[in-house]
Amino acid sequence: MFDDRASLLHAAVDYLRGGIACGQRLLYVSGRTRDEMLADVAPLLGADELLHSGALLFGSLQDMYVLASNPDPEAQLATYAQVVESALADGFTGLRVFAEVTDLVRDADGLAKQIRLEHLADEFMSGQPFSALCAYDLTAIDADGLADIATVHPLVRVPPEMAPFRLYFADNARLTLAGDIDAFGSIRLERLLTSSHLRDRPHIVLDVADVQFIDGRGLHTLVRFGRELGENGGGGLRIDGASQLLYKVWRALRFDEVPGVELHVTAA
Amino acid sequence: MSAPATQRSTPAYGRFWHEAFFYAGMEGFLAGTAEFISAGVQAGEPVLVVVDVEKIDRLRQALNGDAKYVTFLDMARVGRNPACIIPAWRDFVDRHIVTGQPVRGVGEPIWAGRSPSEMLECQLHEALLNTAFDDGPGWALMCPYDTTTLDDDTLDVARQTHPQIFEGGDRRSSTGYAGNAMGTLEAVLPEPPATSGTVTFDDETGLIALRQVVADHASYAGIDELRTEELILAVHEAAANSLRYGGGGGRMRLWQEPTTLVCEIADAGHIDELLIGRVRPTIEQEGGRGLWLINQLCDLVQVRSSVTGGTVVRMHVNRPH
Repeated sequence: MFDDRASLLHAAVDYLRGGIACGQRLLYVSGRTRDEMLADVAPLLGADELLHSGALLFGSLQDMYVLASNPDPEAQLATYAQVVESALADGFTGLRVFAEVTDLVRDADGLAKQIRLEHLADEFMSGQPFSALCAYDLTAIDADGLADIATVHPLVRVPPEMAPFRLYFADNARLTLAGDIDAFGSIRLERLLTSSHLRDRPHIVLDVADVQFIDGRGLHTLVRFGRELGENGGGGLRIDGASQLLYKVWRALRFDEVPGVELHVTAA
Repeated sequence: MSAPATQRSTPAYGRFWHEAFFYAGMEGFLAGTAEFISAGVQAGEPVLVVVDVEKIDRLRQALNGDAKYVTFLDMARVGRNPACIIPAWRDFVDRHIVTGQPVRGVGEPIWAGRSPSEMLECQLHEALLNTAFDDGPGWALMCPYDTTTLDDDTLDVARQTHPQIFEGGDRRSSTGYAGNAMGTLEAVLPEPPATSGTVTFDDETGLIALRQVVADHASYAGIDELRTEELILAVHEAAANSLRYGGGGGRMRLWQEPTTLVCEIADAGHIDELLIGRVRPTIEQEGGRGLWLINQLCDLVQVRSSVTGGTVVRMHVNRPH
């Protein structure tokens, strides 16, 4: 998340350079013109060469996010998946993307879609040779929206107050909740859980070993979500890696009697 | 479980029967309670006895065969925090009263070793028993008080909080019963001698700082890690309540009492629910879990609230001393 373009580009170029070292194909996606994008990556040594050889690609927001046809996030992800596949077919080790996506999230609808895409992409990417750095202009988006986006990214460069907790897919595709969740953050947690693609899953395992702090409201949010999953005919929610305190609170609130939700103390 | 009854008795009491039993020493205790318990067993009533472990042992012997029809719980565990006693009775009553069978119980929350703060909470608890059960189905609760170890003031307060007294073999109404006047959260708690760790807070980020201050004080007081985490969560819940219901902010103070570390959260809000924190929350309800959780997490909790004085929640955790 940035408010100063110069430092953004510095970070982006560093990031892309790292991709070269790993043998990945690079993809820079933005709403800018080709000339502008060329100027942006100029500090990347040998940018012209990379473009010429196909090791660096430029993509427009229009094409990559298939904006013309107002697609769902699954279709947008498929677009990226194709680029990953052709990178692998062309002998690269994977795909590294730098995407400037502020334009996608200027309205509430776009923001909701983007969060869903980010969350979906996070799960997809956790098992693939595909990594991405997404840039959001802080000055153009409201704080709540930014916080939601930050929350679904495992690694973010934001002030800690903005995203005290994370909900993301760890490397082993395990859904992970980490950080601090209190009464106020639990509203955000509920929003992310209920609006995400996770709702359609028959059964979910949530790892809470990296939760530093969670209060009664935060736990109640998880319980409600798990119970809903169970009610919708699915297998419900299993929570792994709970601390001793979390287990005690769970039982004190009798959440252990809720159908569709199980809590386990040690990671499975 | 209850004994097979040779006859089903109609309840001898149409409403909640709450008596203070004044006894002298262990033999006096056994004589009065065993008779009360056996009468219940013979009538087929479920009986729950919550007293200290030594008395449980002696009662089992005194009751002989009847003991197997009685449930015994250790008051030191159930009532360490007196606010947890009413929910224990509520669970027992609710579980059995559905069959139309009255129940009876014996509960001794007050003993000579209780700290002054614990004593205040026991007395509030006794008064709130009337509030909790007066309007419900009839059942009988006997509260033993040892006249050889408790002082006159304590026995006087017992006369004020119990509608019935059982003393010297006699059962009668208590002339000193104060009705529901004692069942109030409005009394002011004594000021601590000295406090440290005074912090004000008025938003969510303030709660994070609060948790750190509590952690530091608990560590200094030698409290173990899990217990510290429990206190931190309890304080957070109280402070979150201040933000949400108490006018948007509050003040925390920390100090040590002879056997506990105390953390107090005060705000300008008013709680008008007398049994706050003493009623088990349902799964469905949105909020309203904070004080329940605080009561489960701490060794002693004191809640006071009035329109003019605001709300105070004092949370005690035992410390090495």
